[in-house]
Amino acid sequence: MTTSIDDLRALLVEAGVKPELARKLDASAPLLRQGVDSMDFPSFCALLEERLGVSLDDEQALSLKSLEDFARFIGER
Amino acid sequence: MTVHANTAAELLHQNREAHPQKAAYLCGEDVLTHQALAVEAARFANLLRARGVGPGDRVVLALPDSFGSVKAFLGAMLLSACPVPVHAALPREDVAFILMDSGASALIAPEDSPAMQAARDVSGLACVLPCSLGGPWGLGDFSGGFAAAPPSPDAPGFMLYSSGSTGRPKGVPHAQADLLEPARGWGGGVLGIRERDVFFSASKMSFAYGLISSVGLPLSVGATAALLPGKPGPAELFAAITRYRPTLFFCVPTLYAMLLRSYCPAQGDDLSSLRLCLSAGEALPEGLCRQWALQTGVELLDSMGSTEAFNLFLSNRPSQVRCGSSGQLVPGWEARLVDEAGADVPDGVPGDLRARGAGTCPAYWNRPDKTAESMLPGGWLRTGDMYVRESGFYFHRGRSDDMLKVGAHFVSPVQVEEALREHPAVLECAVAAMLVDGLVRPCAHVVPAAGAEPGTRLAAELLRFARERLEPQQCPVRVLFVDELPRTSTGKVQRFRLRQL
Repeated sequence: MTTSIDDLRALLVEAGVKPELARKLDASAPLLRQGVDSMDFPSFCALLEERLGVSLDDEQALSLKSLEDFARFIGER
Repeated sequence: MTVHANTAAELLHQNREAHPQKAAYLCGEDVLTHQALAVEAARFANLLRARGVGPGDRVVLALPDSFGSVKAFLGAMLLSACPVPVHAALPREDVAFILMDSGASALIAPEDSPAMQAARDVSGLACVLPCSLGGPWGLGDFSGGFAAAPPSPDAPGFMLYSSGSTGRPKGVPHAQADLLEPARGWGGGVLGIRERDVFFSASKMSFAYGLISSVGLPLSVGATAALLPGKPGPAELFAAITRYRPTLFFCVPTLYAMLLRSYCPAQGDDLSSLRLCLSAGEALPEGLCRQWALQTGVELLDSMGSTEAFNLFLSNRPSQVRCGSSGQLVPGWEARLVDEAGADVPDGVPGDLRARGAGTCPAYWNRPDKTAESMLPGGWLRTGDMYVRESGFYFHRGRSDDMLKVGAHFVSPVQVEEALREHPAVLECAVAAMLVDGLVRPCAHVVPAAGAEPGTRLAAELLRFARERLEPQQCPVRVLFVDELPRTSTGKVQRFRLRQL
């Protein structure tokens, strides 16, 4: 399954992240270090599970930090 | 009847004698020594007395964790008044409720805070005291000596508020001496706390876990604790750990997950000072426990306690961590797992956890109904948590009621449902737990109103709607549309059937 970084930015907006923040996020840096907060993040994870059918309960998912990490993880499913 | 000495006076005296110039607290750039803490707490007691506060009076502290909050807490205890720490960011109406419910005589809060506004909503406050991070203005004018009397055994020594299922928080009073109970079994027997430890808690002093780890444990051994006034995110927590170099870090699973997802040793995140990380407040997912230790090299010990116990009664032990388990019984505690009839269940069978130990709250504040539900004959506390026991280790199996434990806060589905029902597109809804990333989060199951179009757009709209009205931990992370809600034959919604765990 492939998902572009831009698809993930759109999901972040749907999860409650402000569009201007989602646009300027550095795809290689941890989301939680760039202003994505403790409310946005679980909503984003729930949306990922719902839309893309991936399970983030997987222990490996705990090392996903950046948009690039998420895109790679989804690509490998 | 046994008369106990004043706990605050004993603690302050013992530390001032043993190491007056040692740091008791660190906050920002500042250091508060044990000597200065003893003097400032005495000044606070004198100030409160001068403002009409006396023994037994409830003193609500709506303060960020800071030198000011510690001085106020211990100062009120010296006076044998009853400090009631509440979260500094509590909305005005919640502070007003607690002021009224506790029958408070005094409120101490930052100037221009929601709590200060709440003071206008209630009558009977003898003292409304603005207090900055360092303490109230004019504190230095009061004497730094105070002859503390033993507390009355009938009056509460301190009190915390715990969320209830109907949204009305319950006062959980404790005797002064209960402040030191966690230092015996959990602190001494499990964590091996000692004078050279540096404590740092991400949980605030308005929670039992925060008060235990920022006040009770460090002062009991004359150690040092670092305080962070704001609401910490991962970046602030890493910065504080790098700066204060704590040996023990106390935090909750939700934040551990966020910390792990932001951890960048290459960017300077330095956890090398830590000898142990502690988790409580909600069950720690097994994978998070393992990955934390793998990626950071520091053991993460899950524990289980409650405000009513003012203690941790189940805990993992250093070098014997069993990930996915809340650990074993803490020394000094007894536990039972019982079925619905109250009979003990054998190992391997889930049961409702009951705990018994010294220092538990005997009764909620003015709530005989809730007291009868939770404080059982023989000194047993009903926790409302289901557990399975295997070879002495306890494994969490969810709640036995509809309450959710989210980010270490109790969340009542009722309040979330009420907020969502105000949206015109919502005909009915029920909120139940779902697991996201191994952690419990609220999920809203919504029956749309006639004419409303269920779909992505409405779901996103409802999430936003909830965020404008609810506390972060109460906000659903997902909306699912359903045709009808599961109900009993009498029409009661069966939320447990909606759980996705």
